[in-house]
Amino acid sequence: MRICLFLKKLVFPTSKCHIKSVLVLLGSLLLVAVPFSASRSLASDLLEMSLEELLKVQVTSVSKGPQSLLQAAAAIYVIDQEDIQRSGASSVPELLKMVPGMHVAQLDANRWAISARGLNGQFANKLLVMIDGRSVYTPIFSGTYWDVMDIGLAEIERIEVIRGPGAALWGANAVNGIINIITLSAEQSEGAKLISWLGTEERAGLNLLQSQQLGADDYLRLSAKAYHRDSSSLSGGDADDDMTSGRLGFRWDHAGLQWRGKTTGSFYQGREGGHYDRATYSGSYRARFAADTDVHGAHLLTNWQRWLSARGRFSTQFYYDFSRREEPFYEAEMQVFDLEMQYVYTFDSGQKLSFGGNLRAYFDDLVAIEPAQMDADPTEKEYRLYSFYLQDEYPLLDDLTLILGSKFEKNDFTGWEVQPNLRVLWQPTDRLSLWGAVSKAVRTPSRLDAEGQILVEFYPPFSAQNPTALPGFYYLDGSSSYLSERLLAYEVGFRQLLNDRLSLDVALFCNDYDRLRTADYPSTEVVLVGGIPTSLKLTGPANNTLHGKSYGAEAFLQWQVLEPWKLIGSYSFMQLDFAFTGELETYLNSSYYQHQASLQSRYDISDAVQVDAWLTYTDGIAVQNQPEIWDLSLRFGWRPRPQWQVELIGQHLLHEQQRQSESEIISMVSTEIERSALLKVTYRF
Amino acid sequence: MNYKFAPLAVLILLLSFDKSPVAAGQYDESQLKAVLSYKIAKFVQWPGPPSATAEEPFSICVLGDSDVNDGFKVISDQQLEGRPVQLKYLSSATGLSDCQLLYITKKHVKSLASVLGRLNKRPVLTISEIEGFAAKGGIVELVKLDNNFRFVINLRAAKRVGLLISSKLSALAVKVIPDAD
Repeated sequence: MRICLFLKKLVFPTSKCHIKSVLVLLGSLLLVAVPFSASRSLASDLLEMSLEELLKVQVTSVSKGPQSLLQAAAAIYVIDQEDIQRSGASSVPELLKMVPGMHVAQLDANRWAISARGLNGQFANKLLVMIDGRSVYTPIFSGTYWDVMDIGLAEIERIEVIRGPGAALWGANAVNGIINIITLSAEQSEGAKLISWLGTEERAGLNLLQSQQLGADDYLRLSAKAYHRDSSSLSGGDADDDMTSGRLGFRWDHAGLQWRGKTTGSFYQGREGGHYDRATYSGSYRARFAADTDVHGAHLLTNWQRWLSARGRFSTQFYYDFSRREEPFYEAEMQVFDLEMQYVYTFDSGQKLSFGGNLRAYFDDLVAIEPAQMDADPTEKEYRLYSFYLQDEYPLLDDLTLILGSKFEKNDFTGWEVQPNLRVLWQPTDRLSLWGAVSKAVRTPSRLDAEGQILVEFYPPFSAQNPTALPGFYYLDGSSSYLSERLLAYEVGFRQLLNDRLSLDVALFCNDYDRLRTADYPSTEVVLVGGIPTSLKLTGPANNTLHGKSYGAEAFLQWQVLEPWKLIGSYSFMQLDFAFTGELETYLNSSYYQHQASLQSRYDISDAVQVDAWLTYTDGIAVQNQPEIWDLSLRFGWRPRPQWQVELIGQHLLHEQQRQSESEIISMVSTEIERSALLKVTYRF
Repeated sequence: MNYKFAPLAVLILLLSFDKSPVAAGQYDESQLKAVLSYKIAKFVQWPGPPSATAEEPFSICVLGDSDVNDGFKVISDQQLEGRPVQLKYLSSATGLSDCQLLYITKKHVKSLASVLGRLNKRPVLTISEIEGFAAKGGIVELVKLDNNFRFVINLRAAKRVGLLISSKLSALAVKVIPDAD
C-alpha cells in the first residue's frame, strides 16, 4: 500500500516539496548498505543439474551484435539492451532515432510522427508496429498511436527494426517498414527491479518489475509503471500537453520439454493534454483550444510452440486487444481478435519451409464529436482479415541462399491481396554478406479511407485556391471504391566485419509506389446557416491516382575504438520523385528528411562509470518550412554497487525549445519540444 | 528532513537481503555442450568389466574449436564409470583409439566421414552438434531448438559398437533412430 501511495505522490506532485522529499528518499536509498551477493559460478550450476533440467536451460543466443545480422537478407537493425541503456532514451520513439532510414519527429509531449524511408506523418500508414507478435497498428486511421506505446523499457529485450517491405511474412501495411518490440521472458528477467525517475520533462515515474519461478518450468513477471510527463511549450507559453499514465502487465513463460509458451497481458489508462485548431466560419477561421484526451486499453496474448520432431516446429498464437480513446473531435473504440498458426520445417539439406495462417476480426466504434472535423458512417463496424503465407529458404550453394515467399490476404475492403517477395543472400566469407530483394506490399484502406470524412485543408477567402468571398473547407471523402496502395521495392545491401572492431552495414533502396491516396477534383457546396451563406464545403472523394518513386541509401558503422570506447554512426539519404498535381498533395506526402545522421559515443570510464553522448542531425522539411535540427543528449551512468544504478541524462541540449515537425492533420497543433534533464535510479533485488 | 518515505526505504532495505541472484543465468553454450555430454555419458554402459583398472582415466576427446575446448574444462574434475575424467584435445582425426567419448564440433564437419570410418567398431560414444550426425552413423546428435539443446539418439550405431544405452536416455531424446531389429 505504501508503494501505491508513494507512486501516487510521485506522479501527482502537488508541490515542489514532494520532489524534494523524493530526492531525500532516493539519496537515502543510495546510502543504504546493501550486501554484495557473490555471483554464483554458473558452470557449477550446470553440473548440479539433471539431464532433464539441462535440456531446458536457455543459452544466450549469439544473436547480439553484427555477427548474427550477416545472415539477414533485409535492412534490419536490432536495438538491444545496451542500446536502450546507453542511449539515455526514455521511450521507444526516441530509440528509433538511432536507426538509419527511420524518420522520427516529436509533435508534442506525447505524440510522434514515425516512419521508415519517408511518407511520414502522425498517421504514417506504411509502418507496421508489433509488440511480441501483436499488431498495434490501428485500422481506423492507419497508423500507430505512439502515445500509448509506453511499455517500460526495462521489459524490452530488443527492438527489431526492418526498413523496407515485410509484407510477405507480416502482411498488409508492412510497406515501408516493420518494428517488432520483443519483451524479455520472465525467465530472463528473474529477480526484481525498481526504476524511478525525476526530471524536468519526464517529471516523475516509477516502474517496478518482479519475476519469479513458479515451478520447475514456469516463470511469472509482474510489472507496474506510472508516470507524469510535463507539458512542452507553444508560442512561448505552456502547451498544456502533460500526460499522466499508469500501466500494469504480466508475462507468464512456460519452458517445458514439449511445449514452450508465453502469455502476456496488460492494462493501461492515461490522460494527456494537447492543443487543437477548430475550423470555424468566422474570425480568423481557426479557434485554438486545449483539451484532454483519455486513453485506456488492455490486451491478452498467448503463444505456444512445440517441436514436433528435431526438424519441425509448430506454433500457435491468440490475442485479444482492446483500446479506447476519447479525443476532443472523436471517440474511437477498437477490439481485435487474432488467431495464428505456423509450421516451420528444416530439411537435411538446410532448406527451410514455413507456412501459416491467420484470422483476425476487428470491431470498432467511431463516434464523431465534431462531425465538421471528422466523421464516419457507419459508426460501428466489424471487419475481418484472413491470410496465409508460404516461405521457402533454399540453399542454392553453401554460401548462397534464395528466399521466396508470399502472403495471400483477404480483407473486407479490397478482397484478396497477394504480396510476394524474392530475396537472395550471399555470404562469400564469414565476414561479408550481400543481399538483394524485390518485394511487393500493399497498404489496405483504413476505415476513414473507405467510409469516413476528414477536414484536410482550409482555404481563406480570395486566396489562390479559393477566389470566392467565403472561406473554403476541404474534406477528403472516403470512398468504397478506394483501392489498396501498392509498392514494388527493390533493395540491395551488404554487411561487412572490416576487422574485429569495425563493422559496416549499407542498404540501398528504390521504392516504386502506385495507387497512392489522393483526392478527385472536389465538388463544391455552399453551406447555409439560417439561410445565410457562411462557407464553402469542398468535398474531394478519395482516389488512387498518385504514383511516384523514392530512392535512398542508409549506412551504419559500429567501431570499438578502444576496449572501453565505442562509436556508432549512421547516415541516411533519400529523395522523393513523385508526380504531384497540387499543393495539398505535395504537402501531405513530402514529410521526410533528405539527409539524416546520428553519432553515439559510449565510454566506460571504469566498470562502474559510463559517459555517453548522442548527436543527431535531421534535415529540414521544405513543405513545412521546418529548419534542420542538430540535437544532443548526454548520459552519465554510475553503478555504485552491482544492484544500483544512477543515471543523469540531458536531452535536446542544443536548444531551449524547438518544433520538430507539423502534423499532417490540420486540427492537431505541434508544439516546441524543450531541453530536459532526468535523474534515473535503478535498483535490482 | 522529511521521513515520509522512511517505511519504503526500510522495505527496500529488507528486500535487498533476499538471496535471489541479481541476474538470471546467462549460461555459456560451450559449457552446456560439455556438461550435456558428460551427463549423457552417465546413461551409457561401456562393454567389458567395469573399471578394469580404477587408476586408468576415462578419456574424453574433443575434436573441437577454441570455444568448445574451453567449455569442456568445466568437467575436468569429474568422474565417469568410476574413473577420473581426462580431457584430450585433438586437432585432427588421429589418436582416436584411446577415447571413450568423442565430441566433434561443426568445425570438423569435412573430416566427419573419415573420423567415423577410423572408429569403425571401437566402443566410443560419439557426440556432435553437426546437423544430421545421427543419421550419418553418429550416436548422439545435439540439436539446438531455439535456445535449448535437445538430442537425437541412434541406437543402431550404439549397438553396433557394443554400447548399452539406458532407456531413460532414449525417453528424453527428441528423436530415436531405433535398433535395426
